[in-house]
Parts: sequence; C-alpha cells; structure tokens
Amino acid sequence: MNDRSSRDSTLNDPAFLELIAAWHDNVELSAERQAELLARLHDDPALRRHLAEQIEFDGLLRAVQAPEARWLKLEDRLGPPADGSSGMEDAVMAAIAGERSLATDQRAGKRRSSRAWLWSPRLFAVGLAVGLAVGLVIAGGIAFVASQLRGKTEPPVAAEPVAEPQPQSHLATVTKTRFLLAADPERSLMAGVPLDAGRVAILGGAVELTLRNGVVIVLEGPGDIELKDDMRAFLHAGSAVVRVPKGMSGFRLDTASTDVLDLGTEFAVRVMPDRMTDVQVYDGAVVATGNLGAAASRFPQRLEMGQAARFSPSPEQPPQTIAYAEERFVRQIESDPGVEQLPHVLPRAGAANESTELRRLFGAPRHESIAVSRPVRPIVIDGRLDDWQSAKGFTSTLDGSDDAAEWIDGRMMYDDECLYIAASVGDPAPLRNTFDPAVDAFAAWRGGGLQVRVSTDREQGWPVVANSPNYFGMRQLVPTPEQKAAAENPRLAHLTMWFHAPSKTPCLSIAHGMLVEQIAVNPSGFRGGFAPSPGGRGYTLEYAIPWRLLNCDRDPPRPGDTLAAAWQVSFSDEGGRLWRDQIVELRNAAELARIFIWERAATWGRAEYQP
Amino acid sequence: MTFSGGTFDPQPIIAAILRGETDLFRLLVREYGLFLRGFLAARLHHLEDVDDVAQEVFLVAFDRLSTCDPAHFRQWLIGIAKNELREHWRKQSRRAAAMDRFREEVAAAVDVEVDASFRLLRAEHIERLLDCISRLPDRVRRIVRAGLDGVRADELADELGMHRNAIYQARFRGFAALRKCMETGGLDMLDLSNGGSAR
Repeated sequence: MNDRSSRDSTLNDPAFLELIAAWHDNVELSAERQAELLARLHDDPALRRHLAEQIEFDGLLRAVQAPEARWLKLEDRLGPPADGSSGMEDAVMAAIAGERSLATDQRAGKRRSSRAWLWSPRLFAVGLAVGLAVGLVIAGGIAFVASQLRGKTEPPVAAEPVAEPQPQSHLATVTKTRFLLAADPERSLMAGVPLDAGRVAILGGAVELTLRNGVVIVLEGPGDIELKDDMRAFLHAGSAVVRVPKGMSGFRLDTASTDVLDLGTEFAVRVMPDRMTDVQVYDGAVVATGNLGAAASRFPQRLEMGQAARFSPSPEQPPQTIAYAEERFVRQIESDPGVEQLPHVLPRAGAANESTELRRLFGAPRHESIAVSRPVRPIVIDGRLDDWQSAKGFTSTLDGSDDAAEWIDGRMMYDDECLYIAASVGDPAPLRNTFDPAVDAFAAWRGGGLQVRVSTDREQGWPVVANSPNYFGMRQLVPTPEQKAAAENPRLAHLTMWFHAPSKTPCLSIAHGMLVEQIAVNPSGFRGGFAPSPGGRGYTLEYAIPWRLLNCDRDPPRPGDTLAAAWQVSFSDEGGRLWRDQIVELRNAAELARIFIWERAATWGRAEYQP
Repeated sequence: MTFSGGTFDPQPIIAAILRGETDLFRLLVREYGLFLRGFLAARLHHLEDVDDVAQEVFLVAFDRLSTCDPAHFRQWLIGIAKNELREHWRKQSRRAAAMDRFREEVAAAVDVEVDASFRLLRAEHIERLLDCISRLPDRVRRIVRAGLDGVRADELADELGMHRNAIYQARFRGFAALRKCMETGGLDMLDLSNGGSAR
C-alpha cells in the first residue's frame, strides 16, 4: 500500500477519527472503548504513524502560533538583561510619541490609553540615564536634549574623516545618509562606517544600511533598529524599508507585535508608539504574523505586492487591511551632497557646525509677539492673501539672511467665530507633502507645512504653564499631580496644516494639551486653502479654525487679551516625505533657548488680540 | 526562529554562560524556545501546560548547564523535557480527568513516532511553514485555524455545513499538505481537493 492509499485508508478508519476527536475535542469515550483504541494503537503501526503526524503537526502549529511565553520565574533567575536596551527603545518611542500620534490611526476606534504609558516611570528613567544622549524628533521640529549634550566637556571635533571601507567581517555598512541626526553623539553614522550586530538609532533624517549579504535597509528617523544577524533585525521604533537582493529570501524584520518574513521582496514596516505595526509590500511577498495574543491574531498573513496591513498588539484585534500607499515610506535616499552634508553626530560645544545644528533643532526665533487683528471684511478662504493686507505679522528666514530660499511671512486674525491664520512661505519644494491624513497625520509635519501652537486659556494669559511628559522624562523629573493636570489643559492646541499633494487637499490636525493621546484630523468646520507662489518657489496658505475646535467657543479670546502662540514651518525634501529643516518663530525670550516649543508652553510667544 | 540544523552554534554561548555571563542564557531560550514548545505541544493538550513545562525545562537546564555536552545541547534539552513531562504527568494523574489520562496514554503510545517525525524538522521548514499556512485555500485555512483557536469540530461542522468527521479529514489533509509544503516549498492542491466536502 502506497503512502497516499494508506493515508486514505486511515482517514476512513473509525478508530483514527475517534482518536482524533478525543485528542482535539475531548470527545468522551467509554473506558471500554478507550482500551480498545489503545490496543489497536499498539498493534497498528500505520495508525500510530498517522496519528503521530497529526499530533506532532498540531503541536508544532500551536507552538508556532502561540504568543511569546512570559517565563517570569526564568526571568527572575536570569536577572535583568545586560544590554540596557529598553531605555533606548523607550526614548525613541517617546520621540515618536511626541508626534502626538498615540492615536496613530484616527480611524481605528478603541485602543489602550497611551496616557499611562506617557507618564510611565520607565520613561522618566530614560534619557541620559541609559548612557546615550537620546533626542526626540517631535511635532513641529526636532527635539533633542541638546542642553545635556552641550554640557559635555569633550574637546571640540571637526568634521570626521570618511571611514575606511569596512572589512567583510562586519555585519553591515552605512551606505547613505540624508538629513541625518544620530541618536548617539558618540557614534558616527557617516557613510562608510561599518556596523556590527546591535542597535542603530536616529532622531531625524534617514540612513541606509547595507548588510554584507546585500540586504538594504532604509531607516527613517526617528527610528531604532537592531541588527541581529545577516537574516534578522528587530525594529524597535520608527519606519524601515527592507530590500532583499534578487534570488534571496528569508530575511526577517520583527517588531514588538509582528514578525515579518521576507519571501524575496521589498517591504516596509512601521512601528507606532502604541506598538501597532504597519506592513506594506512594494515587491514580491511577505508573511506577516502577529506575535502577541491568541492564535487567531497570530495566524500568518501573506501580503503581496501592493498590499498593506496593520497589526495590533491587542490580542482581541486581528490584523486589518489598510490602504497601500506608495509614498508612505522612504524607500531610497540620495546621499547628502558635498558641503551641504549635515554632521553625522551632534556637535559638541564649540564645534564648527554647532550653530547650524542648534538652529535646526531649536530654530533661531527673532520675534516674540504677533498682533492678532480683526478683519475689516469677511475673509474668503481660498489660499490667496488679498484679504490680509490690514493684518500685521512677522517675517523670518531660515538663516537670518535676506536671500534665503526658506522664509515665512505669518499673520493671524480673529473674529467671534474663528481664528484665522495666513502665511506666505518660501520653500524650494513647495506643496509636496505626501503624508496621508487618513493614515499618517501624526507625522505630517515631516513632509512640509505649518504648525501653530496656541493657547486660548484666558485665565492664564501669558505665559502659559504646561509641560509635556517628555519634558519631565528627559530631565528625569517627576511631575506633580498639578503639573500632570496642567499638561492636559484642553485650551492648548497644536495645529498642523499641510497640503496633501496626492489628493490636492488642505489638511488640518489638532492636538490638545501637552500630552495629547488623540489628534483630530480634518475636523468638521475648518476651512483651509493653499496656492502656489509665482515661480514655484513657495506657497501661500489660509485657514479659518472655529473656536469650537479649540475648545473655547463659549469664551473665545477678546480684544485686549494677551495669550500664547508659537509658529513652526517645516521644509521637506523634494519628494515631500523627509523632513529637512525648520523656522521657529514667536518665542518667549525669557525662556532658555534649548527647550523645544512643543514640550513647554511657557516658551510660546505672545499673541496680542487687537480691538 | 532557528531550529535544529540551522547555523546556530550553542557551544561558545554555553562556554560563556559557564564563565559567568548568565545573561547569555536568553540566547539559548530564544533559539530553542520554539523547538521545545513544539516538542511539548505535541504531547500536552493545554498550551498553558506547555509553557509551564517549557519554563521548568529551561530552569533545570540553566541550573545543570555544567553537566551538558555542548555539542549535543538539543538532545540534552529534550532529555530534560522528557523527564519534566513524566513529572508533569505524575503530578497531574492524581487529579486528571479520565480523558486527560487517555490522552496521556495515547501520547505515550505514539511517542516514538512523534519523536522520529520531530527529529526531521529543520529551521528552514519552520520558516517555510508560515508561508505555507498563508497559502492554504480559504476553506482549509479556516478549518486549520479553527482547530488552533479551540473551536470544536462540531461547531465548525455546523458553520461549514460539513460532518464532523469531514472536518477531521480535511484537517488531516491540510496538515499533510502543509508538511509536504514545508519540506518541498510547494503546496499540493490535489491533497486538498477533498477538503471541503459537504455532508
């Protein structure tokens, strides 16, 4: 009897079916029948073999798809991991959390509260405590604990020489960088630097890593990836695109919630602050498997070219299909050219490039206040600024020079219904933002646009006292209950305005307080318009935002009020995808310069509401 | 997830652990955890028992690592697993239900065959298994998945309009196809052609 006929015979054998029913479904059998079946099993090698195959394979499948075991006794016996890596992971996660994206999917509905995570004591223990000066790239700019870094006393260093070509024994090589801000100032990530297994964390820009077997990984900042070996990496935070050479397969990129197995392909993975994982396939196919929760959520899902899915860390939430969007990830980067190349480590005090880096991090504000006037006639929101001639504003350029390509002319007005914001922006790559408001609104600033932070808290006036969790965490401070409450002030708002180029749509996201766990994206009632500037070197924008959306429609700003406001304009690469630089304006000059405006509302300048 | 036959070499790691770098034991747990759980899951019905016993196996292995021949770490681990299984069954037998005892006897009866089958597994097989599962036809995939989710065959039979035995037969064919796919890389649809017969 050949194997197939033996198998078919077994399949119709009542004894086999009863044994399977008992094994899988606990179907009751009489003691007499049990004895008969056991006797049969002892006497029939074919039955034993087929049953063994079933049992063994069932066990294997259950093991493969079971959640990761939590062996607490074993962990206790082994003690804490020696690599101290969790602090780094938390810090970069905090960086992305600062993008106010904790509701990363505005459509997803329920999710665990991220607030507890934000205030987590673990977060307070990160930062310099992990031995790495970790920075944060946050909404509206780049966040970094620069003041800590600057306090170091190492001798100044000039630009580092290009590293020697790496010997083959190293696991990987940095092959390209673009607008890079490395997380660890002690570790250069310039092109040519060899890397061994371990973590690579960046705060901004992007880095391309090429493994010795030809696998290419593009990591976008803020991001943190751990290279394990030739065929494995772990994405702790951020986004990475993996390109596997033709003829190769089997590379794995895992995250805290998902394992992604390459089947010869190019694919992208994004880890969001709440451990949600998005997987998108550009070419070939992958098998993505949730690694948490019940078997249902761990069932392998094959994703082919042009498909994308979202994996939740929640055991109850199965993977969701999401829209494929070509431009969601940075797939390739061009190296920073020649003299424009940015430093690959943050400058130490006195370094030649320190002033440029500081400006990129914190801006170089020149204005402390703006007059918010009332319109003399109704404003038509069409992106053209012919209604704004009467409004006083401010102008600023990227580097303070008159001939800078990046500049802004900003203005604000108000009436009983709305706050109005208008800007004329000089931008060499205008109106190219590709961040989809339905999926990636939390990070939209990276593609270029305007962010305005406003307070409508008339009781507090100016300055406003409120700090983000990151502010405390990165300084290893523990906030008081009052400080936590202040961070939840609903009358503080962070507005991000961008033009989504693929759909030609003016977009708005609003986050409230300083620890926002959800952002409202394109909320009902706002109006916005963009128009390209003549010559294609910039754009104008115009927004009307109802007071209702700022939680103050019952008590909006009144003539004579002095409240808080701050502006940030972000500039992207030509593709509207990778953050490049920023202008920061309207800042409280009494506040220390090396504090990010997103993390401390007291740094915001004055908005003086005119009669 | 590397399994037997992969490039993972435990010998230098074991040497380092024995020199005091105990944290490295986590590498062994990571490399052999799935293998061990698979071995145990083929013998224990409840997944929580699998994890409990697997943890005990690793604890014993950690405590007795100096007695291990590093060149045969996997076999040594399986030896510990078998001892721990016996201990588990001994403890359970006093309070186990009749059907649990029956399953233990069934597991013991086919232990040699399960062992033989397990020995053939290689790392690349496991990697391929995930792909193979994802390529199953929807109906068979549903049946395989339902079994893993703990859905009883009777309930699934009602849902799919099939007889309970047809569910078992479809699952059997699904497993056979997966095994073949795992070993060869190809999914034989002929093996699954009777996977959805209605009652």
